[in-house]
Amino acid sequence: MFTNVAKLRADYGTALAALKQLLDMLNAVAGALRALIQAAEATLAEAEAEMAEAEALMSSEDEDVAAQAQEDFAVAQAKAAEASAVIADAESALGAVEYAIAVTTEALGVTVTALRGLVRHAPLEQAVADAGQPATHTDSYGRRAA
Amino acid sequence: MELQRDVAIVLDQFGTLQSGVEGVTKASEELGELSLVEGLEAEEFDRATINEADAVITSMHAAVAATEAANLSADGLRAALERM
Repeated sequence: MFTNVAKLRADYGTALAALKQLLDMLNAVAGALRALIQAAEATLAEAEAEMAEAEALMSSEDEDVAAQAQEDFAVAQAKAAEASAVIADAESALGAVEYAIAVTTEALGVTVTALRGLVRHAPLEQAVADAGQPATHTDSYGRRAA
Repeated sequence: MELQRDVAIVLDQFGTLQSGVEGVTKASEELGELSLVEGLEAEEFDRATINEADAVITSMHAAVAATEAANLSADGLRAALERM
């Protein structure tokens, strides 16, 4: 039993480190997604302003100006559509990443609870180490059997 | 162009998740190698310890599954980058 308690403790430690690392990575992804959403929203606002500006010139009496405005409007419209699509995709991905963060955080909590639970076996482990006897010679409180 | 760069940065970040998933998977396999439930029962661990160990493995699998799903959720952004 002594070996398994030590092995469990080591494995829980490894699990904690791996989960923590994954959580850090997920948080970094979430941060990058939030920054992308902000940037795409700024691009969308810019495109909408360009569309409004071009729309105003589309009714110009100067045919060249009107033609250029129509072209500019189409370009700005495509830019707005692209930014909108990116916002939708990024928000969808952010939802999934935030869920993964919640699940990974919960896994960390479960692992910490399990690690703390091993304290129940600490007296036994200590007794075995002190006495140099196999675990089967002690009871669940670490006392040596009569 | 700037948006394209920002999308590429996010997708690079998503790329790092694979190593995180591998780390958790490896750690859960190490726990599994202890033949957790059966092995711990054979060693006469108390029921609470067995349940906790089982819960750790289950929660690690859930974290891996949720992260893999999150990675798939970036497919829309991958397609957007290709379009740009």
